[in-house]
Amino acid sequence: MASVELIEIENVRSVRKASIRLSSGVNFIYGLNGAGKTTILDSVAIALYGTDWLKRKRIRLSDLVTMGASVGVVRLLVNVNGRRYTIQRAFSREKVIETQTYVMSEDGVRVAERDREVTRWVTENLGVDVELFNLLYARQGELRDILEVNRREEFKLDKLLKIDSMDKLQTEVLKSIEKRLEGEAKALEAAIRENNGERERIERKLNEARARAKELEALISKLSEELSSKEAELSRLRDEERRLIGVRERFNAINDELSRLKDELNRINAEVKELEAKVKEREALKARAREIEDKLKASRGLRDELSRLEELVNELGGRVRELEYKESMIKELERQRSDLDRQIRELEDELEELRRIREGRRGLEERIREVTSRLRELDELKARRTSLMEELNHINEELNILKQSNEPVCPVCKRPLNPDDRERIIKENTERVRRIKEELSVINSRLRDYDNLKEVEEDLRGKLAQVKVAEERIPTLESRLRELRGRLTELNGELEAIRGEVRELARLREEYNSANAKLRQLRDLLKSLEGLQEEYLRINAELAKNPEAELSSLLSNRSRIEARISELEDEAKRLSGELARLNSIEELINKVENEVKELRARLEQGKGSLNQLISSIGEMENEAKRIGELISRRSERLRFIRGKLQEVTKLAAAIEDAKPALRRALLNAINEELRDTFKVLRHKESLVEIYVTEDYEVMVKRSDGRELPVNMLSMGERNLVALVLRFALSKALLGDIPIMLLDEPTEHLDSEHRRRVSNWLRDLSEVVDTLIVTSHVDAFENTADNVIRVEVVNPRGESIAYNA
Amino acid sequence: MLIAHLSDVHLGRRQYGLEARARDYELAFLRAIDEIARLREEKGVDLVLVSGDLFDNPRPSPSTYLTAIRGFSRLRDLGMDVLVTRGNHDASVVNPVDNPITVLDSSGLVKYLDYGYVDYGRVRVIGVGCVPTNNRVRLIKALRELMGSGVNVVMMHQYVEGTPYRYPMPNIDYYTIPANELPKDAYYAVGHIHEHALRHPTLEAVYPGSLEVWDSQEFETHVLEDGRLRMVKGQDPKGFLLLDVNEGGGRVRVEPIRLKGGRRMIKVIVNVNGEPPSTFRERLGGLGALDYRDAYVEVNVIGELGDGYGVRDYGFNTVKSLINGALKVNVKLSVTKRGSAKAQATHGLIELIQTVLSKSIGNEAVVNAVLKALDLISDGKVNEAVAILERGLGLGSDVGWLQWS
Repeated sequence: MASVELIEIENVRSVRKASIRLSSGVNFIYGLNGAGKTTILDSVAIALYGTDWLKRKRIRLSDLVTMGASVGVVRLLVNVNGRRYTIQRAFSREKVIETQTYVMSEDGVRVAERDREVTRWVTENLGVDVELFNLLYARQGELRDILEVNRREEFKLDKLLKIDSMDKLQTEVLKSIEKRLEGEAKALEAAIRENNGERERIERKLNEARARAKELEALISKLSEELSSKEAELSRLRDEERRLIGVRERFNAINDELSRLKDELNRINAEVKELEAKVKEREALKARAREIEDKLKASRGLRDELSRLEELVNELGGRVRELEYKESMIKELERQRSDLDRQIRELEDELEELRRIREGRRGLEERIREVTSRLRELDELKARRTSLMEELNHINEELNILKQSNEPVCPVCKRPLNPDDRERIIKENTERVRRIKEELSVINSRLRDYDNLKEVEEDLRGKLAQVKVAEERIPTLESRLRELRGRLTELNGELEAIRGEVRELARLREEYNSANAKLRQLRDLLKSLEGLQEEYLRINAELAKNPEAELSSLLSNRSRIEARISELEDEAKRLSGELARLNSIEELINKVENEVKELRARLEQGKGSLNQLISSIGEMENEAKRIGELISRRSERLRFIRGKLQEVTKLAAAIEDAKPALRRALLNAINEELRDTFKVLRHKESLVEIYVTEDYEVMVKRSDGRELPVNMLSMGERNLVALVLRFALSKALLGDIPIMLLDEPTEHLDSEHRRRVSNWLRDLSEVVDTLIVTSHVDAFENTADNVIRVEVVNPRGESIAYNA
Repeated sequence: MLIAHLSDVHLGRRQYGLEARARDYELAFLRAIDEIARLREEKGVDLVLVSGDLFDNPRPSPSTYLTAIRGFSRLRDLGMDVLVTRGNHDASVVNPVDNPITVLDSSGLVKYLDYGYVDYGRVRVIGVGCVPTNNRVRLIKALRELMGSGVNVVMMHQYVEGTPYRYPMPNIDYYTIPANELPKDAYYAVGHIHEHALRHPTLEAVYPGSLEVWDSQEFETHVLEDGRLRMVKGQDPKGFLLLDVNEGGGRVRVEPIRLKGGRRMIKVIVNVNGEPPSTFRERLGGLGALDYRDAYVEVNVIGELGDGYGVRDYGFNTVKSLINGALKVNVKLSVTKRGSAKAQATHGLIELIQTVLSKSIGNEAVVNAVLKALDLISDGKVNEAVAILERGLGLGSDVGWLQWS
């Protein structure tokens, strides 16, 4: 149950503002042409179905919004099953204002927002979609469109019945499901086949593996037996070996003991021998001790002698040292003297030499004078040479000038010369040149010696310098010589004195030497006595010892040891016999050990293989089980799918069957309604019935039984039929009609039929929750339950609508 | 002075489209005129006020005019003045064309007041026509100007805010005036609300109401319980008011005058509580208990249909056959199908398709899926339709079998 309770309009076409309450029953909108009745109805349509409806009717938003306004709003307050909702749509000239387009519940919650959702909400809650709404809203002039039930696109019954949807369901939807199912079935079949193949393979492999496992088990048990017997043998051998090893150890221990004991024995024997020797010695020692005692007695007197001599020696020694000192002094002095002598001699030689040199001085000076004069000569010659050469050059120059020039000119005064003069001058000059050259060559040969002479001069001067030096030295040397000589004399005197002292002391030396010799003698003697003393003491100490007791203990020890040794030797002999066996046993043990090792290895290997095999068998078994499960699951699914495929086929068939049944059911419903309604509204008594044929043709039956197609009726009659048909169709399709909007339904009807229609509309209002009817004729005003007036209020053409 | 105050006569109204009701309205007017005449004799009524909606529409038919003339002529002959103001029905409030009252006024039968007044001694009767609430400022201002120093009686056709009406009218909000905006020192002879003797809590204003039953809430109401009819309330009283206005001032005494003799208007409430049609029809027997002769009967069937049943199954229209002799029986249905929380229309087409399909396809889930799929297909959503149908068939979107490998 759904009804519209309130319509609010702002700025839609000519309606600036309107707030209209609707009631149950007939709501009649009255207004002159152009006032805005249709606008109100359109607003309801827009509020309900928004852009969907506008698109169908090809109405532009820009045509909807009132001139001068920017936004148009339509609002409906609807009651759906007792709950109230506000449906609002707002739009500008260009587009819907989505934020202001919504459905809001009583408590302010927006249950739908935006144009499309609102339309969807309306469709769901009203139970009418925009296509069906076309039936319910008969716009002016469109009333009769319903009569062309099958030709007009909007009224195609099949569409209304959703038969075309059913076709699509069969062809597209069911087909796609079918395809999917078939695809799945095929895939499953293939998979199952594959799985079966796998399973067979695995089972084959399993059998092989199991056979092999059995083989391995047999081998393992055989090897185990062998192994245990060999191991028993081995342990037996090992026990024996252990025992023998024990024996060997004992043997070795015995040998060690034996060697130790033997060493001990040797030691004891040696000691015994020693001790026996010692015992023998004692006697000898005793005798010696006595000897020494005598000798020591004599020693005492010697000591005194000794000390006396030592004194003497000391004294003499001092004098002797003095003597020696003096002797050495003598030597020193003599050395000094000889040295002096030598110096003197040297000096005398040197002096002589210098004197000789001084002698030669004069000769030297002469020679120098000589050389110097010669050199002066030579220098003059040099000067001469230079001037000669100058002259030569000069003459040559003159000659050149004379020879060269054609016009002879005096080279000196530059006066012209006649050839004779010239010749003469040339000859003269040439002669002069010759003479000069001669002189020059003489000079040159003489000058050749110049350098030598220069050297000689230098040499001589050098020598002269030497001589001068020597001369200066001579007095120095002479004085030195005098000094030395004086010293020599002193020295000689000293020597003499000392020599005399020495002669005296020489005598003392002899004394000293003899005393020393004696002293030495005594000392040696005493030393030897001291040695004897020591010996004496040693012997006494030795004699103090008592080796005999020791000896007896040693002897008893020795006998004990000897007994033990023989005991041990017996045992050793015994043991060595057994030990011989040890080696052979060890060899045997090695052999058996190897055998055991080999067996073990083989056994391990076998066990390992077996374990592997067992685990792989386990895996294969699991795999086989898994595949089995998979196969069964898949088979189940396949069965399921095949079942579903059948269902789908059945469904398609059912739908196919449903279509004609649906058509028929609808037609029946429609015709039933038509029958009921037409009874009330019958236009002419001659018309009995209207109905719709299976081909969706609308037919009218006359009282005489003739059946006419509806377009044989008059316009007014057709309007009536159309009204009724709309109602019947809506009723049949919807059951409950929430709203019906009739724009000028009484067009072309006379007043009587207008009255009838208005009555019929009253009946209609019992079935329709909200019925809105418009007319510019006020025929409905008295019968309506709610009158709404639409009036133009100003010259601009704006109108308002209100409840009367 | 004694004043008879009527309003909302609505001459010419063919209520429920019935000629008889139009006649009833006329008769009610004439009965009221008779009563006024009687009261004049008995008590000395001086003046008759009709505050709005004398006629049901601005262009009454000639026969309606004649009825009005008949009535008012009688009053004139008895020497009483009749003052009439315009309501929202007998003129357009926006474009008052020549309204029918001016016609009567021109003939001298009545005096038409619109922003005008008449003085009777110290009593001044002011009349203003009906205005939309948006335009009330002008009305209120005019009142203050029109009011005199004596006793003011204002004839006004509006809904005074705060009046405790019982049944709402569609245009209540449109013609409202807040009580506190009105000058307090006047008696308001109001019209527009159709309940008899309805008094405003604070303002001195009482509505005479219409002369005939206007709304089904006023009907004599019964409810069908356990197969028996129980009366819930009687038919509301209808009539006019007698005002006793003291020239010296003070409160106006108001006496309601009830009109007798109107047609019986009966409402029967029948509940459906999910019981199957057969049970329901058994209970209907109780309806026959009342005497419906010449009455107008409205049967309200309210409730929930039984599981799996449709409206047709109950044959609600057969109810009419159980109510005999009535002028008219109107069966109104407010039933819902059980379990439909949303008003998904399960009647009509869907029902048809469901019925037909259910016959061919046994499975309800599949049928529902097919219906949903058909809807989606007509919206162009083929893929979603596929999904819905698959689910209905029990084919999940599980591609699980592939995962089993």
